[in-house]
Amino acid sequence: MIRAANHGFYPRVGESPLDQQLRTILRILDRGKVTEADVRAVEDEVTTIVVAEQSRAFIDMVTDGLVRWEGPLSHVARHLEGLEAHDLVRWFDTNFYDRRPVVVGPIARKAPFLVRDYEVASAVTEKPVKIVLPGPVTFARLSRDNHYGSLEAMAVAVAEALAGEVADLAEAGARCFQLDEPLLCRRPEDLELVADTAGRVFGASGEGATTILSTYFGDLTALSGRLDRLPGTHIGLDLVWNRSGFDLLAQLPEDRGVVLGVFDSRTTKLEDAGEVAERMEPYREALIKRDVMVGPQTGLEYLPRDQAFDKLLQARYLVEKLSEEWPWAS
Amino acid sequence: MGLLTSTIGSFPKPKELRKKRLLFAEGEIEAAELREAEDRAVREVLLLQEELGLDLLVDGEMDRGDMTTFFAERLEGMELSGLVRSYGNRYYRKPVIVGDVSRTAPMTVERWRFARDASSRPVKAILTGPYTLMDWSFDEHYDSREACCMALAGVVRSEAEDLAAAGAAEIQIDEPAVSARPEELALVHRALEEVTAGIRGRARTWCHICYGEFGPVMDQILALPVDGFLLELSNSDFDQLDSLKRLPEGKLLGAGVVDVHTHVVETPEEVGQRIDRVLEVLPPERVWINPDCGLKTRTLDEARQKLAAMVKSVRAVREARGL
Repeated sequence: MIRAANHGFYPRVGESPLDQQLRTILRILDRGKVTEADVRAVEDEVTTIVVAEQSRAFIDMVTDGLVRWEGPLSHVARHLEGLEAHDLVRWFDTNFYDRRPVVVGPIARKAPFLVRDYEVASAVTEKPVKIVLPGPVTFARLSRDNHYGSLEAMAVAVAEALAGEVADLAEAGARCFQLDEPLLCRRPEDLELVADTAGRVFGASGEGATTILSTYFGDLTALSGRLDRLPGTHIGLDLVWNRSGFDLLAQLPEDRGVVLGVFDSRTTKLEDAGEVAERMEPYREALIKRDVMVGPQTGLEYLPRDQAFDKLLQARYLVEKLSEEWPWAS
Repeated sequence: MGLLTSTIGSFPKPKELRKKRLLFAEGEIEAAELREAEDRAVREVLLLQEELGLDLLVDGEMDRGDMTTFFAERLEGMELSGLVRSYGNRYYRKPVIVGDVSRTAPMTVERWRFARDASSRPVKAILTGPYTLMDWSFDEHYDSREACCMALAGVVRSEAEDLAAAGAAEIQIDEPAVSARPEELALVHRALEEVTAGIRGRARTWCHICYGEFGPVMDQILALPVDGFLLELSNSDFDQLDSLKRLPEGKLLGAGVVDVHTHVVETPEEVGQRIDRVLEVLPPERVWINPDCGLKTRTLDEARQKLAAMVKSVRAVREARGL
């Protein structure tokens, strides 16, 4: 089967004044003129808008756009005990910045912090809503640890906290979870720690859940021969970063699904779905046996909203093209 | 004397100017009316810096919305995209490179001259560097990042040469994207060499760098072909301090001792302690003092108070050390 999937972030601001309501109310909140509840209401509305946009692009697996997230790390940091969000750090090779988490004590969950987001998004679509979480190892590596004293201990603590959240989300009905571990591409020595911590998080997702270990801003060539160590029903590969990364498919067990990032989230230049299909053609045999999702290589936060929509639409066109031409097992 | 003071460039825009910029964007007022508001804002911010006692002034970038957008609006081959988030609740219109980039006229010289003439103290000229212009744009035209970056380097070089010819003795080149791809630092070096080669000996060149993962590449950064570095240090808790011991001989450091990403105004004592930390690794004659980054994210009151604390602490440190 092949489906089109959004990766995670979707631009929460567009061009019209109506599409900038979240930006506007956050400014007003900064001046103390509205309440947090007012902001929550706008966030809910923007969530429904971005879910609707993904539906209009005929995306099979949507996200809530992560519209409440200030950044990929700080949003989680702000909701866990023992963490604070401090100095600005650039998020890989994007010109998007986030606040660096700083560990000041034992990490623990204060309360569910994504369940409501999931409920708001899933209430307005029949499509599966994917939950996106930072991978514990990438999170730990990009944080400043003033408490645990070891990467392993911190990553495990983050994993345990996220596992609690995943369990609550599963209870609320979520059936698809994605952990983002982009640093694994640059830190192949972290493989076993990623396997351990991701396994802990995915273990809380319940029977039959879709679990995606997503990698991007690099490739997994350095893990050649060891890819089967990675947990999850699906592995996410960045095939923009490494256009020949398809070669790794041969190393994955046949029952392992793949999420193929084939549209560049960091440029407005629009890929042609037909050309992408041609790039995939040599790997037909390795793909048709699997559950395949195609979409952007990473979140679409780095693009204007119109171009983000166009990228998703191309993902849909790609699915249509491959569905026509390839003998997918139903 | 040492410990001379400056800022990184941007200041918060006065409410009147923000309103005029909006009206101009909507076609409600003419360029001349906007220019009058910009002139007033530049004079005010120069006066503020003079009153605070800063040594090297800036025009506050009152005519710039964003450090890449400003240049993209003036260069051939570049357009602007829709809104893209840079962090938190901040957005900008990211440039899109759609053709060969070229400069049809100087972009900053006239405004630098205006500020110089309106001030009794030296005024720094500020440009965005070629690597950051490239990395912070969507490139739909060039075949490679290298080709794009070097084309922009040629453009920035021409601008720097025009500024130096106009008399700008201090020229700052902003390269916050410098650590984006460590494997491209050689390209950053080539591009900055292209920019600074044309003004060497005529102007002192500074490179401003902030908010990135500099640890593994700090030595390569410090080898870039400029006379001094203006670095964000406070926001990242001085985590690069040790590597500054290896600042190549003859180069200067502008130390960021005020965090521009917090509403909290540091006390002079706190700033003084930060300066003392810097002076543990470099002698005062090689150190300038500045905020981490541009002040446009702060309110005017916060900017004023932060700079006042900075200047006061510098005076105290100078006095304590007999400088």
